[in-house]
Parts: sequence; C-alpha cells; structure tokens
Amino acid sequence: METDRIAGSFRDPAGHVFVEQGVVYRQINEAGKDDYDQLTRSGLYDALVAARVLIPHDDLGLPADAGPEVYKIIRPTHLPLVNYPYEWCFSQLKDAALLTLAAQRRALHAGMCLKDASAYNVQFLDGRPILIDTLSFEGLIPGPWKAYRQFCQHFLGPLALMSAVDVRLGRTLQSFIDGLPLRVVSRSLPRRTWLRPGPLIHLHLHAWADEHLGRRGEPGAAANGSRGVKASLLHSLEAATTRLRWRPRSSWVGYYEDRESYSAEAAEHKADLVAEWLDAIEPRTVWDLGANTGRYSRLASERGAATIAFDQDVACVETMYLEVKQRGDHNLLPLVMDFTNPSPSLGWASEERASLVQRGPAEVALVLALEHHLAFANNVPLDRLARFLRGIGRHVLVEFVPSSDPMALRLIRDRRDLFTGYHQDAFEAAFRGVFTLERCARLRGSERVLYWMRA
Amino acid sequence: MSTNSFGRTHRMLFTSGCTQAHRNVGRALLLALVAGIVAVPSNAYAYMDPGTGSMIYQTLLALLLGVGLLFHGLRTKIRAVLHRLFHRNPAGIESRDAQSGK
Repeated sequence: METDRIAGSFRDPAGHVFVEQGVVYRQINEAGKDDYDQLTRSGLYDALVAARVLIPHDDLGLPADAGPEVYKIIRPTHLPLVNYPYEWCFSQLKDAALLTLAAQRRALHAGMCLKDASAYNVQFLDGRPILIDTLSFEGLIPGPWKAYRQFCQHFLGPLALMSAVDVRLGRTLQSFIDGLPLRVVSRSLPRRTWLRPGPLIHLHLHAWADEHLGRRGEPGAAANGSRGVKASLLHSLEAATTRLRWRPRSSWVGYYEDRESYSAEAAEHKADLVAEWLDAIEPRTVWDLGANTGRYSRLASERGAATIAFDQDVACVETMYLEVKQRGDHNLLPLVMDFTNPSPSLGWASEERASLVQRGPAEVALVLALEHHLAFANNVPLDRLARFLRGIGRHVLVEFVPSSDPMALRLIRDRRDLFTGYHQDAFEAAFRGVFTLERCARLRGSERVLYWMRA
Repeated sequence: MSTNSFGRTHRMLFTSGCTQAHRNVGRALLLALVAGIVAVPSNAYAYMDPGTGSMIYQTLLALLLGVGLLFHGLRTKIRAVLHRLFHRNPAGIESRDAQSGK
C-alpha cells in the first residue's frame, strides 16, 4: 500500500496527516494521547461535531504494524478540495475566524483550549467552514492564550486590511504564510482605526507590544492568567471580528444582468449545452474557471457534482459565497483565483501548500468566456492555454470567443496587430494537439463556439 | 471599488448599552494599559521567543478586559436593584427567578 505523508503536516509532534490509496488519515502519536483522550472523554468532541465546528472522524484504533510512537489512527471526513485562506473572500475569512473563536469558546467550557489558531486549520466543507485539526485541542493550562498573536496575524489583521484598505489585500496571506506580521498590518491601516477599540487593542497596541516587549520582558512575566482571562479576551476578539465588514461592489457583479455583449438567446443556448454535456459526463468534481457569480457553476452543483467556482474578482466570490450560505448549497464552493497567476506551491521545501495544478485535475473544467481574457489581456498563446487546461480538467467545456466579438474588441482595442493569429482554426489546431473533440456548437445569436473536449 | 466599514461605536470591550461615562472609563483604562506597557522593566536579552511580547501584552490586556467585565457585571447588578426599587411590576424578574428555582 502506498503511504504519503501530507507535505504540510509536520509541525505538530502530536501527530500528522497522511494519504493511503487516496484516503486521508491522521496519525495521533503518544505525545498527543492525553489531549486526544481528554477531547473525546470530556464530550467536547461530540459537542463540536454536533455543532459542525470540528470535522468528524472514524477512530480506527492502533494498527498492528504501527511504530512505538503511534497511539491511534483516525480517518476524518473526506474534503473535495483542500483550499487556503489566500483563496477566500472576505466573508469566508471572517466566518473561519468566528468558527475558530467558537471552537475556543466551547473548548474553554470543557476545560480545554486551542493551542493554535491557524487559518490553515479551517477548510470549507458543504458550503461552511469547519475546523480540520483534531489535534489542536489541549488541556487548559494557566497563562495567556498562546494562539492570540496567531489569531490576529491569520484572521483579524488581514480582515481589518481587507475591510479598511482594500479587499484584495487578502492575497498577501500568500506571501506571509504564517500570517501577516502585526507591524505590517498596523502601519498599513488608516489612522482612523486607532480610534476603534478592536483594531487599537488587538492590532496597533499589540503590534507595538510584540515588537518592544519581546526585547524587554521575559517569558515568565506572562505566566499568570485564568480561564476567565481567556474568556474575556475571547469576548473582545469576537466583538472585534464581528464588527469588521465589507460590502462587495465591482463591475463584474451584475455582469450577466447588464450584458450588451451577447444575447440572452446565446446565454440560454450555452446553459442548455453545458447542462446536456454535464448530464452525459456525470462528473463528481467540476471546476468553473472564471465563474463570475456562478450561473454555470450551479448547473454542475445542482447535478450533485462537488463544484468549485473560481473567480479573480473578490466581489464576485463574496456574492457567490453569501448566496451559497443563504441557499444552503452544499456542493458549491466559490474561491478567489487569478488564472493568469494561479496559487503556487508554497512554504517549507515549496511543498507545504499545494499549487492549484497539484490539486487537480477535476473531472470537468468549465472554461466559459475566459479563454479570450487569457489570450488578449495576458497574451497567452493558444497552445500553452491548451496544455495548461489539460492539467486542470479531464474534460473541458471551453467557449471560443472570436476577435470580432464586442467584448473581445474591448480587450484588444488598438492592439489588434498583436492578435492576427487568433482565429477559430488556430484555436482548434492548438487544442487538437492536446484534447480529443467530443462535441462543438455555435451559440445561437452569436459568433461564439462552445467545445466539449476530452484529454 | 469597495466600501469599508469598521462599525460605529465603542462597544467592543463592553457589551451593548454603554453610556458616555462607561466610554470615558474605557478610555482611561486604555491609557493605563499604554502606561503599563511603557513601564515594563527593560532587560537585555540576546534572543527572545518572537511571541513573548504578545504574551506579556496579553497579561496587561487581561487587566483591562477583566476590569471591563467586572464593570459590566456591576452595572447589570445596579440596574437590577434600581429596577426593583423603582418599578412596580418586577414580574419579569420574579418569573425568571421562579423558573430557575430560586
């Protein structure tokens, strides 16, 4: 049997995650035994699972061939796609923050505590955030909350920047994978945030203290405090997080409604074809690249496929996420992704966080009205686009937008001489080298062509 | 193009219903906190765990938050006493006490 330790799971001596024949397991070491036993025996595990705060797992006990350091193996619920905080919109990060605090609140009630507050411990499952690190809980010990600074760096700082400066600053989590340094956050926030208690206490003064008291004091000076202290800190963090807001506005939201580019007839025809071809493929996983507000992603999620709706515009992803939450759509997960610069592999040995391509391919990739953006705005040659898409989906439903299309004309404007080689024959030739054509159809009332191709 | 909002009031430390007097107390406590930070004695350490500053800060913060919670608790109690004294119909309080078996 092939066993692979997940590259990002190495920091905690209490255990790690590994994959065997495509199934994810978590090994609990003797070092994590006491905390794991307290988690289950105190009833905290059952309470967290019932409240959908912690991922459920099956306890598989101790395998016969286990080493002396192993205490137990557990098998958590399968996640359709591992996703990272730099791929979340504002409300996803905020909900993940509130979930972390909810976990801490329940842990304190049960005489336990979260030993870390990493945003990477949260994943989105069935449209909602859920804590995946079962080994994050430890017995309550006196003293301050060890994960306080991590919470501010992973959640509160980025959220404050997204709220008060620019929502796209969420992407900076990609550069600072241990969370945004508080000094960076404090110096980037507008001065008015010094007048608000949450940012003042947890970000500005915290940043100042982190920089200066670390040099002045000694660790022993911090060793007092009680459950009540942790609870009051928690209360303050909850209030500070809840107060942060951002309202999505973008030229991409409402794109379908204010279209002058192609007719409702073409859009409807496209939806019919996508639905028909999805019915023929019956995929379990679908990635919609450039999903906008998810009109076509929902065709896949409604058919039961675990669907990821990617868009580079945070406002679009925010709109989709809020709608998914409201409708309780369990199969649709919107994520922020710029396909001219998709998530790279990151962290220790460049393998702690997987790149988007490493997390693929999906069974079906929807590439609708995106190809011309990549070709024109990013000058991506068509053969390279075809090769990239091969790593993204086993089947691709791709829409070709000719350079005469009104939306394409907007993109190329006075750069037309650059794209003389961009036409339907060249598109088909480029894709023929990589994919096998299954079907194709010209969209009614438009010059656009929709292709179904198989790798 | 986004709109930003941090919220409007100073209710982060103390739960809803703060008066101006409460806010003044909050501000005074903040000042005390800053003074506390500055007053921490200086030791020359070549290397310190990067989280130490945050841990020490949290201890000081605990004082502020603790006093805030204490203040909030006192306010609730005083309100309950005033309510009993000046309101003829303390039925709500009685019925709640009855439910909790007091």
